[in-house]
Amino acid sequence: MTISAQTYDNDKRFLWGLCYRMTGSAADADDIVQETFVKALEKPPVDLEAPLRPWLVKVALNLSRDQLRRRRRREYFGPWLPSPVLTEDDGPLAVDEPTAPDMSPGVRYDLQESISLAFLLALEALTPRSACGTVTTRRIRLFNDRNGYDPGHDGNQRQGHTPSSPKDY
Amino acid sequence: MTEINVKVTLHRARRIISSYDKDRAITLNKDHVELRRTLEQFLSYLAKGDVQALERLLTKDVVLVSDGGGEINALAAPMVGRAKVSRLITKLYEAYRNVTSTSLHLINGQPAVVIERSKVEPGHASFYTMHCEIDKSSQMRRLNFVFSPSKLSALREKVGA
Repeated sequence: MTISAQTYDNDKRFLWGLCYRMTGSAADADDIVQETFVKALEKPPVDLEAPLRPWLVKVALNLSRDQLRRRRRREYFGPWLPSPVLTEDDGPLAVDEPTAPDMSPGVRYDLQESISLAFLLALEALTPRSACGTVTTRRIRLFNDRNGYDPGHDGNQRQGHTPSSPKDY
Repeated sequence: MTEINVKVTLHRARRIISSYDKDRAITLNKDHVELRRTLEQFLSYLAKGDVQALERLLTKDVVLVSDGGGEINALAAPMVGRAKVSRLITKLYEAYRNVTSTSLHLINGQPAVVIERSKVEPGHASFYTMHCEIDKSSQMRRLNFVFSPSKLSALREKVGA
């Protein structure tokens, strides 16, 4: 399968932001994004007609969860803090994502809050599975907002759809 | 995961994160005016060696957390209390005064201090970061220092240190 340079850059940026929010580690996010694309090339999704990004997100979230589990098994000396990331330029954590120029203040707040040190620390207290849910819920609100749903509405309750697993997100 | 499973997981997650939600630190203010002002005051008092003014900036039960990543010496546990924290900060600052420069940067979406040292000890990074949380009265209630060289390496080329 082939991935165009443009989608690669966009997806890479999107995935990096997601993985950093999951792991709180820039180095882990680098590795996981790399591994996700390697998987996409080596073992491409069955349905090549479908958009690639949801598949990439699923793989990246699974890898992030694995990484969180591994980290919990290792001993860490002293208190843990997320690795700091500069957000002055238009890096992968820039709140003004080029894909969503007209987002609502609520979504902008979510995106900004979810990269703050305090939030990443709070996430660290969760199990890998619930961390995944919390990060993706924020993304769903972005999705709903972009597609004209009520952003105040809980993102989990998409119309006519009962979530039965985080995979459904 | 079944539907019940999802509900239980969500419930547990909400419980764990509730203390964070109750005491949310992030400022909605787009330019982070209060946080920026507090950090600037903090740095100027530090440079002047004004310990009393510095202490007034801290809450009584301020927490100082430092992450050395197990690579270099850092506090093994968070340090609590205004007197202890201000003493540690001023002592450290005095010890490295001549080789230290500080600047404010936007890190993880919030203003933070980058502390650079022109003389680097082996195994250390040439700079480290300090994030702080302020309460409603703009007093600092938590200081987060990242010393871990491997965690700072991603920042190095950007900050230009």
